[in-house]
Amino acid sequence: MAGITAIGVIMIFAIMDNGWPAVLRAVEKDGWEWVWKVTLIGTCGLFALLSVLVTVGGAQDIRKLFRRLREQEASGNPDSDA
Amino acid sequence: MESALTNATSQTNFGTIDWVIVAVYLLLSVSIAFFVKRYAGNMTNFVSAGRAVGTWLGVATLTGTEMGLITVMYSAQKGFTAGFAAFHIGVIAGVVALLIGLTGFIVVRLREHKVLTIPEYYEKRYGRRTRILGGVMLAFGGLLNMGLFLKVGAMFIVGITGMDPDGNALKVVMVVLLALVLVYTVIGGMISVVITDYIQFVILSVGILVAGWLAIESVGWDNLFETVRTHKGEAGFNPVAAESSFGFEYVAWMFFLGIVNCALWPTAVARALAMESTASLKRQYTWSSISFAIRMIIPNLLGVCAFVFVMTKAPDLQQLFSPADADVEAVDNLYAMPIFLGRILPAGLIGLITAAMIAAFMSTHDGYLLCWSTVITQDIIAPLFKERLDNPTRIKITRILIVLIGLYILYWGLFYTGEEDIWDYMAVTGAIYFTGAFSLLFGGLYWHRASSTGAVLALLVGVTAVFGLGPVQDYVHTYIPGSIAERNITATDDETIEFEAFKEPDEMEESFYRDMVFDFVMTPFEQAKPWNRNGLEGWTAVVRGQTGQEQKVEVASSWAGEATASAWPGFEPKAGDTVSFYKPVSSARVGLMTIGFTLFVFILGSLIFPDRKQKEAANE
Repeated sequence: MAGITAIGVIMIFAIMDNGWPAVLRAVEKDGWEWVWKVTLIGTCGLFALLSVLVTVGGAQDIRKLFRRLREQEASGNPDSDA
Repeated sequence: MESALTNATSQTNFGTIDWVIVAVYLLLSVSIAFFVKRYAGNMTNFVSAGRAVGTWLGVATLTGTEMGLITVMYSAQKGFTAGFAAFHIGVIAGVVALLIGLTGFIVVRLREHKVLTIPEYYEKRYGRRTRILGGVMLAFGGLLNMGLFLKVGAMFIVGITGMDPDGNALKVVMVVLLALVLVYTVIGGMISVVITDYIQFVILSVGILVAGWLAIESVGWDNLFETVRTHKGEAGFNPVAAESSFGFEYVAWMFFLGIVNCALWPTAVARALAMESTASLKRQYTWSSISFAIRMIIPNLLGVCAFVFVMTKAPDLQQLFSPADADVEAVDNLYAMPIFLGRILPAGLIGLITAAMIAAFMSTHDGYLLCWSTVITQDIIAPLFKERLDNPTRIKITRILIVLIGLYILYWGLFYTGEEDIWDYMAVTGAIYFTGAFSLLFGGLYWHRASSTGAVLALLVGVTAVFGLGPVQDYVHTYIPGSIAERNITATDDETIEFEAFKEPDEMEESFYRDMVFDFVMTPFEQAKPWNRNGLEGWTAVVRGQTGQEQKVEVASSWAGEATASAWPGFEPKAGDTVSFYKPVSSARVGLMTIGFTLFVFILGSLIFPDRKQKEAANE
């Protein structure tokens, strides 16, 4: 969802900046080359965003994980899934 | 040529400061295992981190496991050989992961069953014998699949650090890397794997983005596209172009592999089963779709940049990887990307990138070692003991297996001789397991008539995927439909061999049998017309000497009574030797055929041999 949205946003900016006919001409002229340029820029931008979210959110998840494991250890919860 | 490779790797910018960065990172990884050791005492914690992993940590660990150094290397190799057209693999992978995240296809229903492994689900749905057989198939395909990880990872380290690839450096690096991964996987189990995956994600994401940026800067944005256009033409961009090495068949195969990587591959599914809830699981996959795409696209880009660098800025490397003289054998192009990075990255940064790549290497190995050892323990050994094994014994067995699997990948990395691209090798070996698994999971979760007999048959038929491997096709080439049987060589002239001329057969009469059976069965296999000029071009000639030695070579040109190769790799053929011909079947075609065949057998087996007591598809 996020990937499609981001590529959509990039395309909207490109259309606003150059006009729809210019974008169509670019696709027609460069074809696959244009597709891969947009894909590269779009996915790298998204991955940079994802990295920030995971770095912050992941640290909080690790704290939660240890809290839960400590609670399990304290309560002596037996392993029931073997 | 070997000394030229040594010379090429030695021109790296890797220095002392970089070694320090790498050493600090490795110490940090191993110390985490000791820190979390006390929590790894029961099997659920050891294998699934207590099923307490949150969404963001889940994304980190899924990415960390699936974006391994092996992924970086094989994707770079695809970028190097196929240009930007290779991007389609990553795009398809991302789109499929997104669809699975939105729909929860297979993974959500599996998570609801609260199983630790996929074969454990087989037992719930199909019975114990299916679990054991499924475990054996999974371990067999998975271990073959993992066989080259260590060697390829070590090739990266050797290439980027400037060690001597012709000496024992490769073997030493393999042993050291393996020892490090074994230590922290054996001690800490899934908890240490998840924590180190997080740290590795952070380092890796920064490292890979910076590396991508610097790679583009080193060759120039416009030059990047211009050079690919010049050397590869339309095929460098369009994956379905007529002259492309991919084509529609390959794209379809990649779509199925996208489903496999997300929903069937045990290491990814293990992350799904470790999530705290199904909602977290769907979020994990939705967000990870970006990682599933980027894990291929940026390494593809590094490979393309390496290609452009070799062709436009490094004549010495061009001689190595694309020699003008046909008699000179090109160096393994897996070395291209690490040598390229070693030359363009400055000291300090190169250490960080290497640490990031070692992070990628370790995060994949730990996940895979833990996964396969768990499958063998839980799904083969424990059911054979009728579940009498207690938890400490299971953990002990799992730890022993981790070490044994480590020793196996060391052995396999040193001795496997296949020549296919690494990505294609992995797809075929994985198919031994996942073609059967797709039928069992999809059928079991969504079709109430799926039966245990159909399941067993599907698992067995999945083994036929092994015919996609080059060495296996070499071995059985005389049985490949369309192959040409041995004939005697009557004379030789340099690179040309002569034999009794082929004659065009009389036209077969039109018949129902020919149209409906013969043509249908033979469709996937190419039929040569060797009586025509160049009718055998691109086919493989297998020459057998009178003393039993054998060599294979691609036919460069041919006519009715002769075939010419660019060079004989093994020995000069002589009159009295024999030659046979076959056209290798692409791994994509073998994979797609196996999927179709497996599904067919599964459905047929389930309909003809239904279970006496049918189980519910979703919630038994």
